[in-house]
Amino acid sequence: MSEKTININVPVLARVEGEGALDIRIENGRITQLKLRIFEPPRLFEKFLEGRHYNEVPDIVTRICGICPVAYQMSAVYAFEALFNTQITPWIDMMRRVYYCGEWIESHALHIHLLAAPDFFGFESAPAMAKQFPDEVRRGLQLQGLGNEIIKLFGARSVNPIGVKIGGFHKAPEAETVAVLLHKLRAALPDAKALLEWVTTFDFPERSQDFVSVSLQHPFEYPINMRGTAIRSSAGHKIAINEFEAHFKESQVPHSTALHCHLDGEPYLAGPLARLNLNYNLLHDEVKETLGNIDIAFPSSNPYHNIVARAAEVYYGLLEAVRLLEDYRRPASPAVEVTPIAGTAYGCTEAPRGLLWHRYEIDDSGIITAARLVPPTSQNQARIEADLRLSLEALGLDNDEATLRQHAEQVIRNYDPCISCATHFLDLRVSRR
Amino acid sequence: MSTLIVGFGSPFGDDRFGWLVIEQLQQTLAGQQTVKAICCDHSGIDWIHQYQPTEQLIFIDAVKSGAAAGTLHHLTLTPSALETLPTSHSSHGIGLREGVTLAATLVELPAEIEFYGVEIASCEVGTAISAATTHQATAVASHIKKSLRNL
Repeated sequence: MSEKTININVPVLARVEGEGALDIRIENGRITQLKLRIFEPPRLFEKFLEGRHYNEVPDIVTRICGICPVAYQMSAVYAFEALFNTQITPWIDMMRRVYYCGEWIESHALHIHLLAAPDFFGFESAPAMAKQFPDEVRRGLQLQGLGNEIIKLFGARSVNPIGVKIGGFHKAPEAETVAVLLHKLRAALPDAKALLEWVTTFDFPERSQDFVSVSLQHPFEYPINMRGTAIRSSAGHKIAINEFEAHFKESQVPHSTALHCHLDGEPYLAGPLARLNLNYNLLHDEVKETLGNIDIAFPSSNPYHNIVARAAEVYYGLLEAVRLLEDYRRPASPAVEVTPIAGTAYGCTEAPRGLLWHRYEIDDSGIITAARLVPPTSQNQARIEADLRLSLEALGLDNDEATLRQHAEQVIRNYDPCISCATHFLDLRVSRR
Repeated sequence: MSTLIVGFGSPFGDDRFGWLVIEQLQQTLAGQQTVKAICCDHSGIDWIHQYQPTEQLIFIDAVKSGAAAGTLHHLTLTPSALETLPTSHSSHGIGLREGVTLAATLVELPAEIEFYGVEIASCEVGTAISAATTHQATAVASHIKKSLRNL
């Protein structure tokens, strides 16, 4: 019996949003071990929050992610406002939705064009793909730029924005500024539609996997913010935000510094495809019409359709931002008064990559005594490993290491984990017996 | 000839240099049709969709090259020279080098790109921009304003 081990070295990569690797052992033509290793050191943000005043939280959690800071802010503010029984105005709720749409647009456009799409054409990078698809990449960059402009409108800047407070915003945008941006957003609607049409022409591997989709659900809105929502699953769960911990369990695995999260003991999918699978009917008609013209049915059990869901949410986000800004009026105040009370605050919103759940304990002085944040990448990690096993076996384990590695990288990138940067440089170790 | 001036950076310490130069230029250049000054605050690609072929291109960024902190760098570089910069430390690994590489496939870049940099000591989270870097930002903004007037 022979054993063949191949190591592919990771280039030096510092200060990226994550570092990952994959170890696979193949014995007698079967995968006997598969580990998605995340070895980025723990960042300890939950501990940093202890001892801080609740008012500081939006400006602290915005630093957790350079791509989805809005999600961290929104899960936090809705958590505290729910505990404090704060009644925000319709204007605040609507503008938060616009703000969040900006993040979906920039994050999804970045992922589609620079990280995921090159895989579907066999390109090694976005610049390589841009030589063949310059108009598509240019259009993607313009959409990403618009998403950033929306975030800047409310957050002063698109990286680690700072415009949010418990109770609303620090400042309401001027009507003239909104009008200029609204004009740009309307003009970009055909681009967002064309993006969705383009993505649906990709050559998707035929995969059908049995997985549970999980997302927030709202009676009449595609889920983004927390107000009026519960956590739903395709297996029939309906879970209140404050009951999350009774059903979702995080556990440590030896090969990862990120926790694995399971729903009633099983892996599950969070993110764009899960949202679309559970909330298709709540998309705007324009998005459903475009999706109705293609040969993909939703709910979909093919994880490769995540990129279609992402493009659909770019189009949805743009339409939604236009709808909510059409009759923009600058309010007398961009925030409401907040009266803190001690207790446990629970918040959950839909980050670009999926559910982002927060819990905070605060005392009578408004000081955080404990915090717990469950990000989407932790929730999807077990599902990614399950998908890798199924996809690689479907591809054929007798393929050479380069083919297996490329396929594994594409599978991982489909989930847009926050270790995307590192999975571009996946260190795949295949051990065959 | 119109000009696009791009300040790269982040909110952290002296890495804010590029943004500070741009903020000073924006105050002076408000209303000018031929000059755009923008902060690039997310990754190295955010300027590409705002660049129009035939525009002059000026980049401003904090630098760590081993020189003494506060040292000003004023270089004229070809796009291909920028493509040889080390791998990026920016979000998703998409920094100045990757941005220029991508832009070069999408648009016709000028033969030369003007680059202003200041050598910085650190850019830690939670720190403010230093007085020395602030001083250099003002100097660079002033120099750019003067050179634009001479065009």
